[in-house]
Amino acid sequence: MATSVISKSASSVLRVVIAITVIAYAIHTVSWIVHELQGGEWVRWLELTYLIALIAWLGGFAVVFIVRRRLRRSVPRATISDERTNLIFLRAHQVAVVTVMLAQIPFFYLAVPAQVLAQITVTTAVTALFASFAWLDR
Amino acid sequence: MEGTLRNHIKLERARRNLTQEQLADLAGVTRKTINTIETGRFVPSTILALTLARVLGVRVEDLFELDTIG
Repeated sequence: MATSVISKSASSVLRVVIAITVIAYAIHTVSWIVHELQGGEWVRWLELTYLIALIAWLGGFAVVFIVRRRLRRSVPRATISDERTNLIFLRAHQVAVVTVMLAQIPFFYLAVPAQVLAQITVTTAVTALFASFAWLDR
Repeated sequence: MEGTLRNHIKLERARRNLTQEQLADLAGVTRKTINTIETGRFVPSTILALTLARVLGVRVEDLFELDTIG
């Protein structure tokens, strides 16, 4: 019987790459926020962190996209998602919404530029979504 | 009213010499879904329960049973 299930090792590698991409995205945003809060000055280590994280998450994003496409082509009938993964994704969204709301609380009292707040919100949402999905899908 | 769902998927799968991957393929779900159902961490929908029963050639009552009804 020709199996159309993506191998355990392939999905594990993909999972690690996704985790690295999300972490790099978070580091990239945090370093940008620190740069903004320092008045727009680039300290060398901060600039380096920002650039490495930027390259890492853009590269990771491209790798995930290409690997997923290749996997789908090499295993045409592969089941990528089903009712369990859909349920987990729904729960991960709920976790992300609650996390984002909690992350907003300090900014009732802290004055930060709107751009920084937007960056924090999006980064928190993306990180919480992927982290909770990875945790629930363990 | 709440009961604990027990299942005999692992047993029925072993009888037919099927791996989790092969059963997942036949049922159109991921291998992990079969694994989590077998270990009782995920309760499948009625549709999936009926699909698994059909794929394994048994009645759904033979595959799943309620442990307790309070």
